[in-house]
Amino acid sequence: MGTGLSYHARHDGGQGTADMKWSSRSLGSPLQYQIFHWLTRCRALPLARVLLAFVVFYYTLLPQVRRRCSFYLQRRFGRAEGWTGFIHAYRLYLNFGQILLDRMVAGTTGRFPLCVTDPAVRAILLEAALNPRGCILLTAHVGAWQVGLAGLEQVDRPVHIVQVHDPDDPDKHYFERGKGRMFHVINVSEPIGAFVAMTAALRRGEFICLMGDRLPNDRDTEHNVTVPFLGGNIALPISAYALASITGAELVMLFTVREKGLTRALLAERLKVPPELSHHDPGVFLPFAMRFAQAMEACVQGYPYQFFNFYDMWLDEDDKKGR
Amino acid sequence: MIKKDVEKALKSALVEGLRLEGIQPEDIDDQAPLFGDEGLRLDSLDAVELVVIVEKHFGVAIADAEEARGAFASLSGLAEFILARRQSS
Repeated sequence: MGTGLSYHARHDGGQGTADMKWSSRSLGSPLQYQIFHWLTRCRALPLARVLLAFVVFYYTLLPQVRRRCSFYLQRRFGRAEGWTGFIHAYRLYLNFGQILLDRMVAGTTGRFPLCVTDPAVRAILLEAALNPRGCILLTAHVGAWQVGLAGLEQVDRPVHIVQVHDPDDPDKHYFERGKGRMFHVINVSEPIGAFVAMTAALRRGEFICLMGDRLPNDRDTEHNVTVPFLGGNIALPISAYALASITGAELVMLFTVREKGLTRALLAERLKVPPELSHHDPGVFLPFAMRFAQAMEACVQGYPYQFFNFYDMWLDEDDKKGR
Repeated sequence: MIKKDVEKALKSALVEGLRLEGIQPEDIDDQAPLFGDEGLRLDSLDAVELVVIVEKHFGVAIADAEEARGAFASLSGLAEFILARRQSS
């Protein structure tokens, strides 16, 4: 996409699913990104959205781009060939592009008029903010997670986003440079330092935002559990649950979606993780990971074109035996 | 409190707090790395526990990744960090 696919799969040339690995790199070039950035700054948002529709159409024509979302779409809609498959892919990528554009607008202007938060969701977040040991917001690459979090102005605490920092990715770190609400990024490229930074933030009573749907790296098989999702099995990290158990922080599962041009919090739920569970026994966190997967599945059932994991996240039989 | 005392107390706290099975406090080498492929071979979630243990047992907070980088080099390094912090406070 012109605005960049911040999270997509890297195709290494093979035909099997094992060659589709997650990469943080954008698909779009810096020039494409700059065009959208310029249109946004010139307040030509309608034009940017029209352009986006054409750009998405172009990229969706490419078989390798359609393949990236085919793993999810097949699970969600069943096998769809030809025109139907193309429409599914186009709608998914168009939604993703719209959300990236929303993020660009928010980061460029500092205005978050899009965010609508349900009073019940707000109450949960405010209650969580009372915990002096901080709060972990656990979300997924579903809907408008970043814009949604940016708009949570009622949480009067510093918010840290845990992500892989890629200095070469132009659109990924908008909130670091833009005028939007200040986010502190905890770079998970160096895991020990990242977890120390997360712990320190929580002990200051601050918020950290973790993604619960992706493993930090391919080799980390010790800190995950296998859960059912969309008719198959996926591996989810236990980090958030273990962090909550060790530190005593609140753990709130939060999903935001884009609906009729607005970003709204769809689901917020506190997960009560008992203290002092051992992370060396990942199975103790299975009930929480299963609840997370259930909530994620409910989101994609209601908003099927807002699931943005563009790689094959489902385990095959060999993987399951090895875990 | 001298460094040896801190190291001894740290070893006991680590074995108990991190639930290091099959390891006695006296088995821990002062100079061996805490993380990585050698030494205690702790992982990233152990780092979280370590931050909490150090604060709980010694009243010293590890504020960020930069501080942790030096403090977590070895048990001896961690003891020095704790002593330095306690003296400066």
